[in-house]
Amino acid sequence: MHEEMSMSERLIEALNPHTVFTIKLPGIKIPVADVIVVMWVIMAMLIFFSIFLTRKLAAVPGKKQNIAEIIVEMINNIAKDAIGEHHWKAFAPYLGTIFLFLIFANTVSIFNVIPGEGFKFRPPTRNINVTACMAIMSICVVIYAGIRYKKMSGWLKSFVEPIPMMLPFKVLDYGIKPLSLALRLFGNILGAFIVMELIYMAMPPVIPAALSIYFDLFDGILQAYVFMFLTSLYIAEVIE
Amino acid sequence: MLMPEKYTFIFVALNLFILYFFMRKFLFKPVTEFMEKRRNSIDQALKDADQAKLEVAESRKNYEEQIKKIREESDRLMNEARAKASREYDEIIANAKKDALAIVEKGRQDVERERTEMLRQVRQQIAALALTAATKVVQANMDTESNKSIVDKFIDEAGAA
Repeated sequence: MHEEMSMSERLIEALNPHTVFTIKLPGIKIPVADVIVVMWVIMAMLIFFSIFLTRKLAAVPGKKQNIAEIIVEMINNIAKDAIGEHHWKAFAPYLGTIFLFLIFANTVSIFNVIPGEGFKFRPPTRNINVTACMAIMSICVVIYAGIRYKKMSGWLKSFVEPIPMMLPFKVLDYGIKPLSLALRLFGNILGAFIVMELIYMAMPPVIPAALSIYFDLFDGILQAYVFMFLTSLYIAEVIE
Repeated sequence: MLMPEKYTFIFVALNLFILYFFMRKFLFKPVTEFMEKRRNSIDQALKDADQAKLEVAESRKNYEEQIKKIREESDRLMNEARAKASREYDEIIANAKKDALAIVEKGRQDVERERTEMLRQVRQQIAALALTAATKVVQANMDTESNKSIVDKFIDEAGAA
């Protein structure tokens, strides 16, 4: 039946979230979209690996521990560089979590090993709800950082510094930052996803591999890094 | 994709909280703490090694100082002993010289005394001889006063010679 669908219909079908199943509670029905299911799969994998890699930490690290140490050290260094020596520890886990999650969320379409129709791994970040939620969480972390490290008064004072005329812009800042975070991520992933879907439709599955490396892998990892990096910059800015 | 959906939003927020919690608990916290602990222990070990090296150097310095002191002490004792020995040697030699000189002097005095004695005896004998000779002469032709004075003069001259 899919053969009869036009290209645009297939594209829209790929772009739209599907309700995989519905949780029925007394009174309300909660639809669970495929983006959430994919997210759960990624979460399960991440949690499994983080437990698997850090079992039996030894002073002389084995292979598994080396991998875990490299990942954690890299994220710690990024946090240290952006936020500074004193406060990075509080934010490295959050930055690392969104970074690792976004890496897999953005590039999950390369794990579509089963050909044909049926359930497909499609990046959850092609849905604006996901990116908006993440951006709002990031800005919440930024506000938390400001209140925690500058106290409520110091954080509120930062709105009228260096001159009180800055107040509207500073307030606007807290809306623009998450908006730009959410839309940048959403737009990039959606664009890459659409391009890849079109290529898959137009060409046999072997040829797009090279393009997939750019659009799925490189763009996905780059956007994950950008999202984390901007979040760390915002945190650093508010702590300063 | 663009439609706002409150359930998706809520699920994502919930998922992120759960993921954050697990990642922090199982990956970031233990690994970061572990790496820091290891770094600290390595730092500590290096510091200990430095400390030990320092201590070794110090004790070595002490030993060397002690050895130097001992060597100085032994040198001093040796020099003292040597000085003492040489002093005693000099003393003995000086005594010996003095004794020898005394013996030689005594010998010379003895010789002098004997010589004087001998001279005296010789003079007496010469006088006696001269007297005998004079007696003989007198017996022959001389019993005048002038002859007697000539004999005395002769004796005197012989005694002075």
